[in-house]
Amino acid sequence: MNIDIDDILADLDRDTTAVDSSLISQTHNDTTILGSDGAETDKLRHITNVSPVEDFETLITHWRNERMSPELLPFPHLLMQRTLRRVQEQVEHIEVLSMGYLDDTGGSADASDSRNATLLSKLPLLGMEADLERLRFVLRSFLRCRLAKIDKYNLYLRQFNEEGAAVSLDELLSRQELEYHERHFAILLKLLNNSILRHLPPELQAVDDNDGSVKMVEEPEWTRFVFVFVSGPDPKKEQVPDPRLLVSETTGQQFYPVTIQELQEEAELAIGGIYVMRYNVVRELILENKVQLI
Amino acid sequence: MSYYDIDDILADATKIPCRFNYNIPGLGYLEGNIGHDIKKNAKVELPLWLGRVLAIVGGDADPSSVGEDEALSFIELITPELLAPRVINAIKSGPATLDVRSINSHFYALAVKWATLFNDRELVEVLNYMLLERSQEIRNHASSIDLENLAQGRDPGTFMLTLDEFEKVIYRNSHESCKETKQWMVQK
Repeated sequence: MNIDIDDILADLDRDTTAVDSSLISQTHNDTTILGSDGAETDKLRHITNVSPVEDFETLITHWRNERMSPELLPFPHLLMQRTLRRVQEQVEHIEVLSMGYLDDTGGSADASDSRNATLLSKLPLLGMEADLERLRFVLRSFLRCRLAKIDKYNLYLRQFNEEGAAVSLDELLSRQELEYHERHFAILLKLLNNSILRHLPPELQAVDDNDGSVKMVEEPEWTRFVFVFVSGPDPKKEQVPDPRLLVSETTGQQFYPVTIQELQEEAELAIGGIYVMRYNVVRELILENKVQLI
Repeated sequence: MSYYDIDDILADATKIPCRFNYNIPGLGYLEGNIGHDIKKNAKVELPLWLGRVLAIVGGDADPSSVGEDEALSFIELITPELLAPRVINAIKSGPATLDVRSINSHFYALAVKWATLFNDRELVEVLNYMLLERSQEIRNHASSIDLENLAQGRDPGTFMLTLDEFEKVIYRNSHESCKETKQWMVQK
């Protein structure tokens, strides 16, 4: 007779990990930006229960989704605030460290042993700089991608400013992006007005005329096909079972049911699977972070 | 297909044969004789962007339409050469060998517009079949890269010359991605 003691073992596991969770996070930290900055990691965990590792992973997910989705996704305000602050701090940290090296080499440059030591101890510095460069690349690419979309959906985004919009523009864009959007639109409008539009009859002067034979406001391509990876709910966060998640009767696998409007068809997105889907079908799952674009 | 899409604008400029359902004064310049009226049943070639609107908007205000059951639209679109039964049959028989470019350089865009205008289910099926068949061929051509030949701008084959504008975009994109992947694999 087998007695299933998995839950008891899991309880024991949790106790031991609770003791040295900081140790574990330290070993994981070499993939992150603030790898050496243990003090700050601990401080953050106590306050908000976020870590640079997780933030970086979330940022990568946001970046990937933003690159592949046809629409402009909401701006991750808090995440970006944290990340930008960390970049700032890390830059200062590196600067302080390199000051230390300056002093070291000045004092003991004659002995070859000590020079070797300083050479070796420069490795962490190199690592930190390369890591910082990596994070900055992701940030830049993310923001530029968003700017390109803001350019493209200039007129469409302006509709969010009007009353009755589902999402307000402040949530969708950051403060700087809002300013960019406003001023870029003003400049574009001025150019069009001065060069062409003022020569046209008054009823043809609008740039956002949707009643004509061709719509002038370009909407995101809602039905574009995207590749999705069904990651499922975050396994790290223990929470109530996802109400949208269903279990298949035939295979016993967990899946999300989605409906494809045009075909009146049901599709099952099994966890761990990769699918090619229309964007509007999986949009909600993407916003809930159950599914990732790849 | 958006407002500022150049290919869409070019496709919309294609001439479509139309027949007028009314006598309309002053419109003779569409036929080429300025200052004259346009006669009923006159056959005129109009660009699609004009024909599409005129084929939908009816002449209710026109006194001649009062007696009729339905308000007749200004013009009637006649199936253009590029969607003639001859072409449809050629597509059905062998999409890969068809010279789409010689029929029209914006074949797909126009066919899609036409199918939307008339809710033509059969045409859509034919187009689907054609696109699938031809995209396999395009994919073959795009993945097997003869880098040296292409770098020198040599003729990549007769099939390439039969692509329409839409297929060219597909070809270019898939070719670029294949090429760049290979370069990355080789060069590190």
